[in-house]
Amino acid sequence: MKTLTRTNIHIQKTVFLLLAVLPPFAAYVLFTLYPNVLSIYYSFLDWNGIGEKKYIGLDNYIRLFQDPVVLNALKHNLILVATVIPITLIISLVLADLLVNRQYKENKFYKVLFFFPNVLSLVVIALIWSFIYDGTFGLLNSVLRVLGIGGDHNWLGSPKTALASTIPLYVWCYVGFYVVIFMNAMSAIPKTIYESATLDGITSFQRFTKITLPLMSGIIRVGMIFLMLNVIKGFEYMFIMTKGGPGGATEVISLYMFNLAFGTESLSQHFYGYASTIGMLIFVLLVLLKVVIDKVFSKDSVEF
Amino acid sequence: MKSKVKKSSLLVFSALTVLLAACSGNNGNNPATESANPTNGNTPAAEAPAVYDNGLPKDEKVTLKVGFLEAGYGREWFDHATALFTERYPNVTFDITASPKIPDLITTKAAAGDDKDMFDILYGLAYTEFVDANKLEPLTDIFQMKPSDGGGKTLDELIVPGYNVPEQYYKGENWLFPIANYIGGMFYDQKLFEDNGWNKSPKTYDEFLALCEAIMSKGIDPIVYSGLYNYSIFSFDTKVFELAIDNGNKEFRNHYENYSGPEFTSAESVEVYNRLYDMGQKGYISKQSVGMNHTQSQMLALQGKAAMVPSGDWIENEMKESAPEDFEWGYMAVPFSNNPETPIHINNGLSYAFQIWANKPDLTKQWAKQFLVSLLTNEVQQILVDKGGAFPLRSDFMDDSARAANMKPLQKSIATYMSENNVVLELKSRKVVLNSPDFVAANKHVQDNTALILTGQKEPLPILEEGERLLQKAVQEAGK
Repeated sequence: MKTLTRTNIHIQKTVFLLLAVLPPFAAYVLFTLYPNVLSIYYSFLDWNGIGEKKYIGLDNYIRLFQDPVVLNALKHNLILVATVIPITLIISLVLADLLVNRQYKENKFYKVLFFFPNVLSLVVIALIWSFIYDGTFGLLNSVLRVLGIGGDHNWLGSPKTALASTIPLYVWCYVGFYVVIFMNAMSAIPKTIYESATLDGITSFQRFTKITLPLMSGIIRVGMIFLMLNVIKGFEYMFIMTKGGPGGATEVISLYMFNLAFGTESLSQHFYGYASTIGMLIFVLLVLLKVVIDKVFSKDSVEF
Repeated sequence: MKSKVKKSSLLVFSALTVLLAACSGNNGNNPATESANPTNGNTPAAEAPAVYDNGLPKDEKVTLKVGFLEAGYGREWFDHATALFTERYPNVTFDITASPKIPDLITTKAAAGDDKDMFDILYGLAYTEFVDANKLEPLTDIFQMKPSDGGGKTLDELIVPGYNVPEQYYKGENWLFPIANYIGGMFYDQKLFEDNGWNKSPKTYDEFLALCEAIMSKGIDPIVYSGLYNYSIFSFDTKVFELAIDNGNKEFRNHYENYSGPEFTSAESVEVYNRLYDMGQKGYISKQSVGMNHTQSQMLALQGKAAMVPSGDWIENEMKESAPEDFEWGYMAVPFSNNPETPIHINNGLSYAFQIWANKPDLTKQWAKQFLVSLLTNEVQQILVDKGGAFPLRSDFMDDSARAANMKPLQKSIATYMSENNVVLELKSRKVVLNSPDFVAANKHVQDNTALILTGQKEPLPILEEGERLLQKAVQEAGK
């Protein structure tokens, strides 16, 4: 058999690497980078997506900082980030710990149960929760009526409760996914660490906080970043359930951007240029939050 | 400021005449039956000319791509209409994409800029952006074409007035082909009203309030509506015109058409919103309306949990799967004047229209126009009335007693209401189009808060003032 020379091996490696990397890189450039770069260009235009493009310099950016809807929407996004992320992570970690360490007979069933929302379409989820919150026939009001504590509140129709009502929906959707991720991460922690700690008399709570959490800090930080991305970029639930209302109480920045770009039922005018400017704002916001998360939560990797 | 547009306000009295005919049956005129199409293929093949009577070739196959909005009128009527057309012109077939979200699909296709991929015939009521970008085919000439059953009359002579008015053309042309117009107002359960002896036709605002009070005393919500989609417009959007008459404000319509006066903060607009706010505070408009879509609100009317629901005449067709067999919708408009002499302004307008994409082969566009004209034959109008529950746009539709007799119960209820009351069909037309983020922001601000105002949760004036501030910015910007 012919022995491969060093050069041949090097060429083969290079070709393999190129074949492996180039197609996804090309797809990334074509479908992600190029549209994003175009968005930067669009953000300086007065353009409805159909007609003539008109360069207007920084006008869209000036408008952006004067637009009260943007400020209102960002406030709601930040409320969601500040609530959905910690609640989701805490519930996911606790559930994952229970399923990994308690070894319930029904573990597999619970895993499927928690993951279930992830296989449902967004529309179905939104409709389910719309019915839960329905002011007349809703499940939540029915339960409250049975308990004798009200039961006639219009949860999504009141500016006081509309935004808060969407938080359980987000948490319900995301928890299952992170339970599975965290369960796998916990399973990878060597049992010997727990065993020696147990011999030292550690309690279950200490085991969770002193061993499990620190050893999972990397995956938790990644989970936090993905949750942040989802919460800020997502608007589907608001689009279906509330349209950003009532009175702008559930307006989020991506929904506003979408409506400006594609119009609404009652106003079919389009502002691709200004919507792209809002897209730029979202991009900057996401980068900033990512930097904050990286700063606050250590990147130290743990080996075991 | 871009001058122009659309149908200005107009009293479509001939539509009323049409509807009156529905109640009174045949008026003695001969039905305008559609003549057998001379080019329907009955001629022996050997003698058949290579072209139809309309001058289009028989041997060139054409497929018309249609972007069809599947909404309240359904699509059954359209499938019938295309089948009829293909039967008459076998070389013409249809490729239909039907969706409740077709406007989004059309916008996306337009933005992609691939004319080949775009529909030939597309649903649409808004058109200025497409026209400005030279994307639409002018349809002015269609109105001079003669439907096969029109007795030699042009389409312009056969449709109800208001939909082809040269003074209202945008950039000198008509860009919309009207398919159906709607009548907006309050819809209710006839039996519920009869059982309770409630007033089905209040003549004044005070009578309407008394009706709401009577309903509420029975533990039923007088009004529920879709706050999510702001369906309140179907009942209340035209009330400013009634108050303008009461106030003797002769400049109101001129200001309305040209954005030359205050819009949201006009005395009439403030009064309308104040009254609605009061109605909300008294509990006449259910707070549950705020987060509801139209199906949810209409279901409450079907179930007797609410007495009246604002919507359009498509409601009967839209809810036919959910309504009990003996359920019968009734209709009324809301009077906002206490002077019985002031006509009740009924919200009226185009509910369905088609456009033709400009950058398409000439033959395709010619067939598209032929097809659109066929939609306004009384044969197809009959299908639209039967299957879609729409009002006919042909003014001679009711000349046939059989067609009048076949009107659906709700259509008859509307006709009865209109015959018994002093009404105006109000198209709310504008002569000026505003197109700027400030204009959208102004309307968004008011619309977003409308449900809270109507349910008595938010005072109207601050909302209207902020809306006015944004609107005037848009007006000034347009004037530069």
